Amino acid sequence: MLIDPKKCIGCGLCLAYCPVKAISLVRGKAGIDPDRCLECGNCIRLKVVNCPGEAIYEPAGIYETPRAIRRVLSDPTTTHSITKVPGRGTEEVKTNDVTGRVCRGEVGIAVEMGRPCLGTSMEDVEKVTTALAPLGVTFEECNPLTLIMADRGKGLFDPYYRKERVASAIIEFSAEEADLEKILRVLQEVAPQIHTVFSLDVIGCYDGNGVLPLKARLKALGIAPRVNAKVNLGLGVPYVIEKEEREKRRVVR
Amino acid sequence: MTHSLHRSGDIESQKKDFNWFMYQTKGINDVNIRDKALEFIAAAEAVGSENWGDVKTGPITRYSSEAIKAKITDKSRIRGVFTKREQVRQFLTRIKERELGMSVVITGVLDEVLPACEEAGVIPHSINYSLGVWGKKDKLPDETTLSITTMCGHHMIPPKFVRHIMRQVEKGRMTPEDGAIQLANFCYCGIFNQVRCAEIITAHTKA
Repeated sequence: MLIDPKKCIGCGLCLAYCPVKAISLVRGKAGIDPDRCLECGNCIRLKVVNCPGEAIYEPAGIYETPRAIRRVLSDPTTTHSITKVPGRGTEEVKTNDVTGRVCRGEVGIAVEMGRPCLGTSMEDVEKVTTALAPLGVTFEECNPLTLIMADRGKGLFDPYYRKERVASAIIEFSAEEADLEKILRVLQEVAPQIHTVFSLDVIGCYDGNGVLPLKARLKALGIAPRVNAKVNLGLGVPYVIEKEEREKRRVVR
Repeated sequence: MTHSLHRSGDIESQKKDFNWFMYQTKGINDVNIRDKALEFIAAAEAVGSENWGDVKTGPITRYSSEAIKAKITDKSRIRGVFTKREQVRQFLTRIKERELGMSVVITGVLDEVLPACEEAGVIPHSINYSLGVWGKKDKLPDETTLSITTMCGHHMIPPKFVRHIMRQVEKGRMTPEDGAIQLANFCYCGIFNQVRCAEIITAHTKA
């Protein structure tokens, strides 16, 4: 975002609306630090911020620059012109009853870089993806981060985006449940090396008897999940997960 | 992804904080969803969903119920807030009866959510656990601020604005409820719990 100094009246109203303190007043005019600005669009939202001089604006052509990734991974209403993926990740557990993204015997992992509050540099994201890649993880195909990787096997991003900062970037993949321990160990090792935070998610399926094997697995690892969680209630159609059915057919053959 | 998962704060406070979601899946059940979305909204409104919205339009704290409903398309994302377990039970009972075939998600404290599911006769399919925050946690705002900002998982609520609202309430320039609405307006989706937020503001200011 930019502020037109000719229109800015220097009231300072916009300062508190920036989630990353990118706006400051200098000599009576508001200005935006382009490195800090995540292009989240908070400062130009109608009914949230009402700049008296209508001085804040989105510069034309931003989607033709590397800053496009700031926009798409910071403003939840945008869709990237290259990835065509809306939002910052997939629908993970939300539609798991229909997609079978994570099936029984598997875990879904999401490393939500920059959440809460801090945002993240793409360099920090790459520190985590390059730490995970040697485990042989397959990064989620429908996640916008995966689509801007130059080398998925190594977890390296297209250098075009490497200097950018975003509100959050979600590293997403599925793995065998038995691999959870080594994945968590890698994340424990890389966490102190980054300059931000990440929120960590793990998804598991109930078996046919209402038991959640993931719960016992976490307990065995000495990990207590938070008391709140997101629960998919299995009301989506088709309930039978195609991916699991395919696997059954393969085993029979 | 997972934008309702990492809500934080006092557990008793979180026990009054539930999110409901309706999801369509691209290529499977994402065509002509309008009537189904309206059924979800009707079920939520019938039990008194305190906030709800469509990410494509905004929440009811900013737009009228009619305005949001009028703009529902196949791209809509419908979701909202409950503050009581009983609302969750009643909502799920009605949605299950309708057999709408859409994915349904409830986020909240599991000791409250799972009994509500059982009472409604709904068997969970899968679960997304939060394993907490890792990395440079010393850079984060204080716990009270986080308990408010994390109610918008898209990170749209500036910690600085939370402190601004707290100061305004302390000075008697606005009520905790009005402050909570101002904060709720940052959240596109309608999953910000302004009732819980007002309680947090009240508890942490000398209003």
